[in-house]
Amino acid sequence: MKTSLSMKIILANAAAIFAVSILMISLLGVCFPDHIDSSPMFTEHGLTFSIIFQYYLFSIISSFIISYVISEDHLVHYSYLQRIAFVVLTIFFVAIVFIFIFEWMPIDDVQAWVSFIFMYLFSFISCFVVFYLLFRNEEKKYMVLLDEYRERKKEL
Amino acid sequence: MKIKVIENTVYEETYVEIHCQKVTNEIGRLQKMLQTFQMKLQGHKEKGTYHVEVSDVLYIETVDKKVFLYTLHDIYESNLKLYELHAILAQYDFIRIGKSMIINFGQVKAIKPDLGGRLYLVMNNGERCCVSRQYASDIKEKIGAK
Repeated sequence: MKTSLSMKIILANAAAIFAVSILMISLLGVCFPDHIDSSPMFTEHGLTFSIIFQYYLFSIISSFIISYVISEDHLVHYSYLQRIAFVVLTIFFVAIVFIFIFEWMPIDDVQAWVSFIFMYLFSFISCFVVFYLLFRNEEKKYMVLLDEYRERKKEL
Repeated sequence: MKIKVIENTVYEETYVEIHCQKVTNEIGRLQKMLQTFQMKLQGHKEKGTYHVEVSDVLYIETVDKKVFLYTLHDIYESNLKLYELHAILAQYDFIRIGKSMIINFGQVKAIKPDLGGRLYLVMNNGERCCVSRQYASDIKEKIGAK
């Protein structure tokens, strides 16, 4: 199966991103009700319909960026870490645009911006470290197996 | 086409003779396929024809319906189709890594994981070849990672 850009894959990924982000926001709302109340995204009864649609649009754009980077046709000459950085920074830029357009948080609230950037950086570094460790271990495993394969070939 | 095999101890060397009315493209291809059994591939470069050692080939790629053989220092065009080369060269440890590429596994220096379940291979000349997800499992199976 070729992992080129396809609407089906983009929408499937968007659904997953949308579901996770709604779940995360709901968890934040339950855990930090006072903090959430200060955000224009929320009413006293929770998220509005328009906000939910904005999230969905954000999920589709994020999914498109991820699918673009993972596809076999684009950015293939860049390392996986460079591509992860591309994904994270592009989605960060899109998030800032959404914050400004839809006023997801008070624009002049420095503390809100600091919290947002800190959380995003934390996610970015976590993502980077997890991928780096997983891929490094896998690479080591492949090298051992490749050496063993060569030895087997020599014996034949 | 009739195929006849004559076995006799008087022959010191195996040889193949092709009898035909005219040397057609098909006969030319047959000749080239037979040459690969001598561990050599016929490649064309700048109007010249060369015999390339199979072990010197890093990878073979189809670009714009043309098939190219890549060695450490040169690129040759082949008259054979990619699937024909794959069928002949599988015995010499060549493996398909994409719809348009087969690589000489003996020339692989390192195997690295990539995003989307793909792999990329670092060849002995430092070049990176991307293995599509469809073929990544074949590579893993080959080295015993699966």
